[in-house]
Amino acid sequence: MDELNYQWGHGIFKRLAANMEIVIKGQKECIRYILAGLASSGHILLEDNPGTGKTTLAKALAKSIDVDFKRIQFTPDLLPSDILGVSIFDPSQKLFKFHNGPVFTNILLADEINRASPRTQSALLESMAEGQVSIDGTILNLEKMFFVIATQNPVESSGTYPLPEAQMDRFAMQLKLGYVAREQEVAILSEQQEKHPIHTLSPCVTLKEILDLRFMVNQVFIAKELKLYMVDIVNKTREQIGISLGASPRATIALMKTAQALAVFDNQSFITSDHIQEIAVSVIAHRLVLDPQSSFSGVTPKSVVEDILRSIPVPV
Amino acid sequence: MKAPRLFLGAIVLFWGWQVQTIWIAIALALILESSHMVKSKFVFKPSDFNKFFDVCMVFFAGIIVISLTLEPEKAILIILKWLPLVFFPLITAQEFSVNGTIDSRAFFIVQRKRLKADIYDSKEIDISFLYSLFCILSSATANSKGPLFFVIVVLFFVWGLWQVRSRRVSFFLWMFCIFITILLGYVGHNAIRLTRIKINQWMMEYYAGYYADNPFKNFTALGEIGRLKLSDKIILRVWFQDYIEDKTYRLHTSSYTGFSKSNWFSGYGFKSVENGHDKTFWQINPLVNPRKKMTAYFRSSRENAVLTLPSGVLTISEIKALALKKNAMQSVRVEKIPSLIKYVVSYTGNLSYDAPPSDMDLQVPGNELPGIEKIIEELSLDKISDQEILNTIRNYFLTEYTYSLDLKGKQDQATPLQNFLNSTKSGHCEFFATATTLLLRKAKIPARYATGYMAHEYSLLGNHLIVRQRDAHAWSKAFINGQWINFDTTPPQFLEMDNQKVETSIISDFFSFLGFKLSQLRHETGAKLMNQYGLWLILPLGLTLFLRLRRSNRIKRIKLSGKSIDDTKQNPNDSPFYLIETKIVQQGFPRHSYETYSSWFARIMHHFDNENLNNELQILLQVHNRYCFSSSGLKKVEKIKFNSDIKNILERLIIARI
Repeated sequence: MDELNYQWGHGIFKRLAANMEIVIKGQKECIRYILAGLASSGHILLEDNPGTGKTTLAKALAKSIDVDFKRIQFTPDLLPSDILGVSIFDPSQKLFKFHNGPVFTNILLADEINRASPRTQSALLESMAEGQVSIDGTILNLEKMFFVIATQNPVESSGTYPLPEAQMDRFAMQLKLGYVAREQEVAILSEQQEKHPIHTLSPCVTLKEILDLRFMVNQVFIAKELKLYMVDIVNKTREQIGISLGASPRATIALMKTAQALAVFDNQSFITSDHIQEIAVSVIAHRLVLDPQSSFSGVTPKSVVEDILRSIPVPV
Repeated sequence: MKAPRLFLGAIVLFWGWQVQTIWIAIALALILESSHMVKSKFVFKPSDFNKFFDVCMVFFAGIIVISLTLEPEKAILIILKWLPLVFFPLITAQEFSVNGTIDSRAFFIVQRKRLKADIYDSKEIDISFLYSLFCILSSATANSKGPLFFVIVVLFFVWGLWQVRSRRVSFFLWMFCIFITILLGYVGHNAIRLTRIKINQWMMEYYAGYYADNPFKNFTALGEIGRLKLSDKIILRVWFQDYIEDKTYRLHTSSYTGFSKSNWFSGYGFKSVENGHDKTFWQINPLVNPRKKMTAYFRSSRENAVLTLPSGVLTISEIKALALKKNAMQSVRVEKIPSLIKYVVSYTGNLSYDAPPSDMDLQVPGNELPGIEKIIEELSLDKISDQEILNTIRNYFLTEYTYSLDLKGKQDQATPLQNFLNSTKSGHCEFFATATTLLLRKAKIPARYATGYMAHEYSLLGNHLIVRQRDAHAWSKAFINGQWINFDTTPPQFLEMDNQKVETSIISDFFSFLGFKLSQLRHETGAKLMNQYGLWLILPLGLTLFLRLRRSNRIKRIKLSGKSIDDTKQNPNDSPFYLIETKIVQQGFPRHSYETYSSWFARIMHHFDNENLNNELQILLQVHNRYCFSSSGLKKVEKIKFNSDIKNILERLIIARI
């Protein structure tokens, strides 16, 4: 694929980012990563305090793409059938008829995912990893483009069920929004004085364009030493002291794919070590399970990954 | 941080020159520097360094033991002096290892456990500068006071620091800073020295108020010996060559001339005695015949002591002391002694070497005169000959007075001595000796007061005489017929009375003997063995190390083709962009190994003089990334342009200097 094509991918990114920035102020980096997740066929977990704009960000993305969008508000009494769908007996035809659940869509916003019971959370597992669900012994395929944005409150909040490790591993990235700067919060106030700008948002990218972008991302070249570098980073999480569960090979794959997406966004046909370093914390940190001892001593998964990055010589 | 080539060799030579072991130093320096010449190196694992470090530690422990047994007073100097030799195996191992560094885990036992678990990050350290510091420290023990030492040490520091200086600082600024540092160091050092001298002077002046010209007490108060009488501690063990059973030997410690307010003072200062051919031999008085010989041991917790000696000392030998001083009344003190002191004395047994009498030896203090004059009159001492005076006085004390350690307390008399003479008529040796001395003086016979010990108790445990603290005694010296004689008026049964007063304990005697034998073993037998065979200890150690290394079978020799075998690990690419990195690093901005070029530039960019340079570098970095990481690389034309662009920018790449 020649340079010109990457120019096109770069253009799609710019268009989408600009559209979302109309609503989401001061989160350029986060938008870049969310789009990287989208372009690399991953799923995104947004974790932050209530009111920081997680849902708005997800909705802004859904509205910017001309695709089907559904939202599930997770609650403690939500059942797996509320996500996947349910077969109901039709008395007129004397048959069980399957009613599609909200999972049959292109973009799924799983809001406050850690408020539901682990059983319900796990209902998403198969669908996220394999793009299919099995109900009543039959396998149903999901849409070709199936993208989950889940939001959750910090695990320490009351009334939450922390996501199991297997579920966490399904997410390509976990992102934190954080609070915006003073000036930007003022800008948010001014814009929402009359009405929410999200209502004015219109789609700027089609489903086909997203699928093309995903194809393009897969073509991005990765030099051998960079592959080694990524493997070294993930490997080190498995050896590092203070970690009871390191990152999986799925993490390495996610790291590669998101780095590829970033390369496209930067209008490059190859990834560099900068891309890997940029995304490593978001891709790896949420998959790590720390020893109780190290958590108590103030070590966070993020600091662990940062330490690892600082301990491995980078190919330049 | 690697020491520059020839640095280690030079500093080892300097050490050898200073401590006068130049031949050893030349050998060490040649071995160390040959590591740069030979083409093959060894692959040492941290566990191998462990063994080298262990051997160094054993050497270190060995040298501590040897120095403490041979010359405990100079132990610290000896240990410091051989420090470079002790750690030589470790530095050699480092210099001949492939990495040229040592895993920090090799040094600590706690870290070694982690080494086994192999989970902790290792930290490679280079000990060459640490070793150089040891060399300088060690050279300083030679204590050459000339300015040359300081100059050379400074030169070594400048040499070592030169290669690690910040390249951002210009040469002259750097030299200026170094100069200021040296100046401050010199001035500070001198200030400390002068302060120390000043403080010493003040201390001396302060002490001088109490003790005339030496730190030893040169006076004794009445009652001091009485206190000693209450202890049965063994303080001295003596062997007499001419030992006769049941004989009591009089051993002299000090003599005093002036008496005032119940205190005796020595009127003579101490003078150093030069020692001759041997460091343990001192000639006290000219040799005469016949001579007798005495050997004595005592243990001292202090570093200075006054020796207990027989009369008429000629020589003192086999004593380990840094200095020996004597005064005119034949008191001898030794300085800087070990905890067990042995000395062999040859002596004549008479008092012919004591200073001739002076006016001081005839003085009687005014407040004691009434009591003394009364007795003189009573005995009519002013009308008879000298020899008769002695007999009269001896009989007088023997018949009229009793010996007792229980003092009756002060009556209505003016002084303790008056109390003894007029009222109680009972006391211990100090009172007898003082009264006798003053009576003799009043009768115009020069007299002195002497203190020491009476050696009379034979110990079967070691077949020698033991002297206990309670054997302390005082007596007089009288000048009769042109020579000094000992004149003792204390009733002769006092020794038995003392024995009854304080019970001796067989058990504590036995432990005292055991302690004495142990310290004899340490100071004499041990020292002799160490002296003769100490160096042979190294042989089994070296053999052990060799066998352990052989058995572990892990040391490999590697032929080095190029400069470093790490080259293969590096990116095999030949991008000219690396030249830019080299140039910026040279100017004092090293890149961390984990930093990508873009994050590195972001960190240091504000140091660049030229704003445009940043943009140009970013563009070149993109080309470099394409060259290294893209599938297609660069086309031929692009590569030529890339090369020329890099060449162009290299000329302008100057980073702001401080």
